[in-house]
Amino acid sequence: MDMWSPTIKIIVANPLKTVTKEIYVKIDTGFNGGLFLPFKVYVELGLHLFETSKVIASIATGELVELLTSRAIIVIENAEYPCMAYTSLRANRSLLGLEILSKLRVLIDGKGRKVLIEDPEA
Amino acid sequence: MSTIIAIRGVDEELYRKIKAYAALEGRTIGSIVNEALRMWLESREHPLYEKWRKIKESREKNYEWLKENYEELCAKHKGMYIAISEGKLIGVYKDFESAARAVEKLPLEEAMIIKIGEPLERKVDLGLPADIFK
Repeated sequence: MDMWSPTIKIIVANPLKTVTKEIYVKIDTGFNGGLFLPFKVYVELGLHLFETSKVIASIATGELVELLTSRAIIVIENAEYPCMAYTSLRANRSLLGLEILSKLRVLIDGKGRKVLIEDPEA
Repeated sequence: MSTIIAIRGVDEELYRKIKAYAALEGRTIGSIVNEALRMWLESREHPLYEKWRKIKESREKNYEWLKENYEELCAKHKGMYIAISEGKLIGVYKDFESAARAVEKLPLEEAMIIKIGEPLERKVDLGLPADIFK
């Protein structure tokens, strides 16, 4: 079966907005953070230069993983959302989580395979 | 140090051959696996892994430095920001942006920017899916 997952295109910037990158992220309402990125993308954005202190996260299996964590800025439809970006060496995809989704109105049209996003405050 | 690790999905035929070679050469299976793993790693030298290693090394040095100096920093500069890399203090700044601008000008492998007074370690439940690292 062809599995569709709700994905949108966003722009991610480092905290100074001196490096930006357009990426596709999967909408994940189970992820409580802002943005989860593959390590390669994290480094390309230079986020390893703006890291926070140590973050230990538990994953669904209960395993604890140390993550690299940085401030980042997400741009969706010309609106900017500062958030925390996380990664690990083995991170294999990009997720957009509740830290950002909770600021937006998101409609997932599974049948039409579309995701509609609007900012109620914009 | 000797560690016991269970590995799923090992090819049984390969394992039988390794066991036979280990017996013939009077070696342990562990020593053969270690040799094979070393050869595999040497054949790789993945640039991203090298980057990861350098970041981790720098962070470890940062924590060593912070452990020794954080109390004093909290007493003197609480609420301000520090930038630190390779276990060395780059500077103390009034806000995050000033610290970030200072860091960006330098040729660094990694840097941390910390608000003085905040905990150095946080445990968080991000609800990350189990297959995110596969």
